[in-house]
Amino acid sequence: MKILVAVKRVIDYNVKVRVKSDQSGVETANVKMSMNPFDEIGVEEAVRLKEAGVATEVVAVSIGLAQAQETLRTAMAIGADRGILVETTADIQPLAVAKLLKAIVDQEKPELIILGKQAIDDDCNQTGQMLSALLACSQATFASKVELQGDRILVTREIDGGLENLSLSIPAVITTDLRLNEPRYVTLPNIMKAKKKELKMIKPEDLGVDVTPRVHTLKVVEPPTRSAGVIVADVKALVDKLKNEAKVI
Amino acid sequence: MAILILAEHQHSALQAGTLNVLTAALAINSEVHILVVGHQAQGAALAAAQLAGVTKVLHIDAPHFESHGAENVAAQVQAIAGSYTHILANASAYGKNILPRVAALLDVAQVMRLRRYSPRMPYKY
Repeated sequence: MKILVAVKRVIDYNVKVRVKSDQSGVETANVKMSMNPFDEIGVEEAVRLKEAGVATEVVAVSIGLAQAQETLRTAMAIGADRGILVETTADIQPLAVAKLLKAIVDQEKPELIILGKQAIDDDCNQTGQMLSALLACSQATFASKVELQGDRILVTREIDGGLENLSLSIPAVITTDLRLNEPRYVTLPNIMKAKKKELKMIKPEDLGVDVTPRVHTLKVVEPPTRSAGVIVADVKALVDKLKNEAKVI
Repeated sequence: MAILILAEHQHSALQAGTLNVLTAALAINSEVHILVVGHQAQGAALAAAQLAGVTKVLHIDAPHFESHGAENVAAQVQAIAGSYTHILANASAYGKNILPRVAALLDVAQVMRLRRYSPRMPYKY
């Protein structure tokens, strides 16, 4: 079985994100970037399936700036066999990503495609579902357990108020939840080995995909700051405030 | 043209989140239709019909909708999507699972986790 994993380069999860002064977006200059944590879980899962002897090859794909090569190298240091970067400086939105990934899937013909459930920068939570729709194949989002049984894939999904077990036909698209696994630390020898692995660069035009953005961002604002609290004199004052100001009782 | 809401339900009853979606829909347009896709989901469909502001309830019932599989439900929404300006669902595991699939089938973008809508300054999320 061949597995395709999609990885996105995002602002590192430890960085405090700042809005640009002209409100056109968030500051990305001189900010630490790394692989989207949910995608890292996806790469780890694919590599584990390969180590278990179920998968034969793991291909990592990324879409974005030339710097995303580093993200692909990280994926290959975890254990992916090779990487493909669709290089573009354009603003790429989930529908365009899904179309680009579909074009790559048509070429590579993987049986399983694993994506993070969402990217921590735009929180869209759409690409996996969109890709599955375009491929007209099975879909399992928010996976917390993946097992192979014959020619079916058994997936446990995290849904509101419980778990859902699905049995998917192949090919399938799976998006990862946090509980699926804990990604390994990459070791220095593996980082060195990853540098020698194949990394192919292509352009969106090579795949014949129109990536024009459909949604225009008017402005980006910080969330409202919490106003400072006050210390009330006694219980009576507290009850009065809860009743008349907060109107919660 | 009307707005379509994809109702989240457990067949016999409607999920409360659908009410939030209804309030949001009514802020956009006064003609709101609710789609209930399920199996033996009369309970949910009747509950939807009781809601103030709903002009029409579409109830589609078949055994293969029992598990709320995204593949089947999205195809069903796509089939009737042409007569609507907006398609809304709750941003729960149910809505997140199905709505992006609908968007891709219709070749349109989707806005996730909407917080405020105003006709001039379109969407805030």
